[in-house]
Amino acid sequence: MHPIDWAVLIGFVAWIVYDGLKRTRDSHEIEGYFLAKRSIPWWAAGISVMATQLSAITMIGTTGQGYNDGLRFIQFYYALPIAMIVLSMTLVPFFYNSRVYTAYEYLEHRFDAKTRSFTSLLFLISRGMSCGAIVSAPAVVLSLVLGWNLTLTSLTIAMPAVVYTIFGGVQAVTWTDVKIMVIVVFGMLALVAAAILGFPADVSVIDGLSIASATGRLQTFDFSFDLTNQYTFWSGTIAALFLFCSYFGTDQSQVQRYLTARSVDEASHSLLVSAYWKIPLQLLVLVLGVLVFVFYVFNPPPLLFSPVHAERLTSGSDAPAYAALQAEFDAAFAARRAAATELAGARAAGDPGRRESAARALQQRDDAVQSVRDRAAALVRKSTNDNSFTDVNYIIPGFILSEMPVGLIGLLIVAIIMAATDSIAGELNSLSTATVMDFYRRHYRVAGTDAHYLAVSRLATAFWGLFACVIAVWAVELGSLIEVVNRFGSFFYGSILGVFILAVGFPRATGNGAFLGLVAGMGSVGLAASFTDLAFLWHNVVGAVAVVVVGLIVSEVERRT
Amino acid sequence: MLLMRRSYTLVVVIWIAELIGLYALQQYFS
Repeated sequence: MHPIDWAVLIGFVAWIVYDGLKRTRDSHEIEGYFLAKRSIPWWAAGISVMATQLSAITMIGTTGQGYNDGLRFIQFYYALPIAMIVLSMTLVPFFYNSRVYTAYEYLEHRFDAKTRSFTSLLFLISRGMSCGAIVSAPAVVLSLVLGWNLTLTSLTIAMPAVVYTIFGGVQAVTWTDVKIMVIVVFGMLALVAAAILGFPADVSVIDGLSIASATGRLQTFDFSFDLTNQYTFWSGTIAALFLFCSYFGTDQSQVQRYLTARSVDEASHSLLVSAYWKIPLQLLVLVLGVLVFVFYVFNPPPLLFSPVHAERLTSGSDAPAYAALQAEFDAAFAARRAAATELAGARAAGDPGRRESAARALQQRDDAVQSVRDRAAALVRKSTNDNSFTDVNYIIPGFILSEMPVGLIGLLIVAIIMAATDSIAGELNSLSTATVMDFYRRHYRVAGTDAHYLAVSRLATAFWGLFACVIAVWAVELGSLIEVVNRFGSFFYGSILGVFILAVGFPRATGNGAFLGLVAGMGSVGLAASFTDLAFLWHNVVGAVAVVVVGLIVSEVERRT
Repeated sequence: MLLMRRSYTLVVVIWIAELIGLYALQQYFS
């Protein structure tokens, strides 16, 4: 990177940490540290909710998905606004009026201590591990693309979050989220502009979108009812409704954001920020990927966007095979560019027949280009014995480094790093809250002073930060373990929602019913995952329904005996 | 409460508009 980019990078990271550290007002007592004394305006809490989800994986992985697959993924978010309304009308008032610190604390008010401890423990295990993944995924990509040391890259991502979260608590997390969100959205708009400016002079944005459509990248609705495919309209509206209700309504990393709001209505309004903006934001992320694809229809892309893997193949024993693929790729690219130019010409001429045949030809040429890229990625997997390799995550970093001007490169690298930083900060703050409130204060030291709990909370934040760094640094070795934990995490998302449905919707449900229902729900999802091809999103429906059914049966049996 | 109801209505209206817009995007270019 150019020295100016380094200056931008270091300057922004330093500013974010300094500003986070300044926000220690009200962080001298436990309610201030975890809930900002319920003083955060609804719009800031709402942006914080969105920023916690928008991680670096979104910036590099989802944009890459837009490049390869187009807009299909947007269907995943169709149910989100409805989920926000459901939660605003149900769980949010219960949480807020119960004056709880964690979502799981409410379960003890309603059921018993074991249900609270079990759900909180599940949260700690899955979120603790996912913190490592949030750091390691972008760290691996950035370290390879920029030639940085992996450990240092991981620490650059994680340490600012650890520092300002330890000292500033939820206030620092929230206000830093707001600033980082502005940087991230500005960065993505700059990338969109750069991609469009890179189109040839006679190709308009409309032509570009026609080219994307001809290659199947503008599909926003798939009405096929296929339970094994999660990117369909039905998965996105029915199954995803359960996922979003679970994620926003029962995951402490989200719940804590809106518990900081000034009133129940403000807490509800903070969730509605996601209802208004999540689909447009996700569309921006995916459209960026689509426009970068169109850019590379006209400007020669590398065969592999990961420079390190390309270099290894060029100089290793697979060099002849890679050279042959490169020659095939160059020819396929030229043919695709000619087909795209023909499609733009046909549109300008207003000839529907010519346009249709040009679109068909473009689809075939694009398939040919994709086929060569797939074989190149397979060659990487074979030569490195790394079966998880995918070139998707390197597309946007590659575009940034090769096409953006000096200064903006630094800003965009900051945006990627900070997107991970603010996600991990929100997670650390909620992990610390659950550790202290659901375990330490509940089971170990019931009557401590505020100063004591505050000190323990800071230690817990530091512990989880260190844990995330260790997981991130060892992520490559722990790959399969992280996958197992993530899979395990997906088993109980719907099930935990089922417990909250029992708590809020069924006054006759008992503590034992909820606990045994939760175990049965997780077991059902485990069976569905092991013995069926059901898409992951539908696991949430299976889990929630199983918990409610088993929970009600057990509760009824218990009441009668 | 009235304010919340209005907000929910607005969310639903914008949601439907977004879905129609996305469907129109797909159909216009296909």
